[in-house]
Amino acid sequence: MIENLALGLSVAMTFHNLGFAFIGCMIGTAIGVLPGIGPLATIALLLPLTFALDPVTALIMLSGIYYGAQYGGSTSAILLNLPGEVTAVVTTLEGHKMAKRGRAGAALATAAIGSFFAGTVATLVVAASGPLLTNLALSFGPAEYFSLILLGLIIATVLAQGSIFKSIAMLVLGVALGLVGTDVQSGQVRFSFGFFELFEGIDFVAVAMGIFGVAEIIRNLENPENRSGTVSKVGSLMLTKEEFKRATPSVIRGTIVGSILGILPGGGLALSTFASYMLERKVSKYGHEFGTGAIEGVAGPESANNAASQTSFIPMLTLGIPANAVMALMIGGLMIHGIQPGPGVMQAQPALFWGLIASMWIGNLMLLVINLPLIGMWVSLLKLPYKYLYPAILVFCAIGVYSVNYSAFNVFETVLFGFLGYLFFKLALEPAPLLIGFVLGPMLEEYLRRAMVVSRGSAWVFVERPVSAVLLAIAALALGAMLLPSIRHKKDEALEE
Amino acid sequence: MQHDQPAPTPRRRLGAKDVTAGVFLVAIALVGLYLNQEYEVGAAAQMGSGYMPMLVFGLLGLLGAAVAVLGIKGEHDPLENWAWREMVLILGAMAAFGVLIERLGMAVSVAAVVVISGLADREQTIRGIAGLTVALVAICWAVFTLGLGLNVSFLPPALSQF
Repeated sequence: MIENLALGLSVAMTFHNLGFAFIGCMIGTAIGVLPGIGPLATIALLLPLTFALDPVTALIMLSGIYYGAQYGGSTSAILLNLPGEVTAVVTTLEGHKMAKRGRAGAALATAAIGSFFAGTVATLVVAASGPLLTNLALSFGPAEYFSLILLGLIIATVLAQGSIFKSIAMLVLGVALGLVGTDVQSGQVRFSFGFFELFEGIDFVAVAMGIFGVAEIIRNLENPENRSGTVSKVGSLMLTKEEFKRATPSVIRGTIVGSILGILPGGGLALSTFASYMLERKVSKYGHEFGTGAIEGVAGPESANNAASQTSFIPMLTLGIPANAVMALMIGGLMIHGIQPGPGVMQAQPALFWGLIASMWIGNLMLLVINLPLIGMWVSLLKLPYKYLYPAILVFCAIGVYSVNYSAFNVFETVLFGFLGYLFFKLALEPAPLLIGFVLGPMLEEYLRRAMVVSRGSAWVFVERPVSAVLLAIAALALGAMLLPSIRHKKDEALEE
Repeated sequence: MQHDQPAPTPRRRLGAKDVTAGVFLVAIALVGLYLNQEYEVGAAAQMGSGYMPMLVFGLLGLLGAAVAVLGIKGEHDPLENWAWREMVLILGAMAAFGVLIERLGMAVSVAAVVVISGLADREQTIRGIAGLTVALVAICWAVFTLGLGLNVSFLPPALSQF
């Protein structure tokens, strides 16, 4: 393992590659801090930047963008109370409260230091477990894959607020959207309404940007008081001795929670932040301070988020399953460079695999040593009033969506999903499960069909195979638990802002 | 919400949001099942392209019905008003970009997005919109044309022939 990491570092540490890591980090943060643009939109927007580079350098720059975007998201969550995506929601809970108390700098520093520690540990976890899981993955049949994805989907609904039927329905609606396009097995085009642009399916970036970007702008314009345009003062970045003491155990717990949950496909990333938040509130001596800006509530979830975003590479690299929407984009980036994620990567291209792992760590390091001191620059980006910001966001959304495929059709899809996103909001339908269902739906269908071919049409195959049965049992437990009113009540409480 | 489904009986204490959401989901499921008639369902052992859609839309219909039924008995939760003006202008700005980008290039399309979407916020002034338009067109030129070398014509393609 040490040898492998050394190989990775030797690839990542050249002057050339470090330079691109730096550029990626800077641009990723600059776009990521803009409120209303989450990591997803940021990466989608900047993906074309890396196309001209050689694969390893491109990957390194991409991971710089990835971490920059994540960190930028946390920054706007803390300073503006505007979460760019689900994972940053938890950060707004305590982080923004800390900012209101004048400790924004401490919250930002905690986020960065916690993320770096978590990233370092999770990198080692990935390096150690990657080879093991690759072997396990080779023993997975379609039935196991199906159950694994189903578990991921169920977990995604656990995160949603409100009626469980509504969130499952949104998940299923997402799977339904994923049906559009060419059926891989029969070659038949389904639900394309005669548009050849839909043969490849509905564009993922259009769905994400429409529902989470465009619809959000309409909502913000509708409720002027919602766009908290006041940027909190950053204050000192230094943690007090007490803050440091309080944050340290939370960082460690968050790292463990995140490393474990990040492996789950479906909602591992968001789940880990919520789980860590709830754990901290339970375990911490300062649980009563939660809701007023407790540093544990920043340190835990931010570390968990980063650890999970690292370990969420595991299902992607070993199984070829994206753990979340951002990973789906990263897969897209890898494939453009001719790398097909899956069990084969590690053996076939060790320099690339370990270079990627090492570059994740370097991305984290860059964040700490470069981004934190530049916080003043990011803050000035945040201070733009919303009336100037939203047309800019809309312009970037439009160009970003268009440039993925150079397709005006994708822009129109975004308009449609912007409308749907607003409709969902008005009907209190949670959109996050829809996106996960949309990403995982096509794989769910593929593995279901393959498993049923093998079993000659008997659905018992999912229960007869032990690994699959265990995965399904966990899914059933999670679902059953969500139906219990007492647990639901608690969860909604935790998700309340 | 004067949308594509009949408004539930007004002035009754019911979870109107849930009822509407349920009806909306059932409507999508029915459309999906209707369209799915075109595709071969096949058997469980050899699924055709219509098998999975049948399952998915069937499940969606059941869930939608459950949401609606629970809504009838649920807490009073009236439908909200829509911000039609804001919605039409924001979506319109986006659509204008799609229409213009390949015909008139980036500069004009970006300007169109800024001007149309700028009208959506009542705080906006004409001077503000004008300034913003100039600034954003310049930024987009610097970032996307100069920086990223995006393969999109900046000026109207018709002009660049001269």
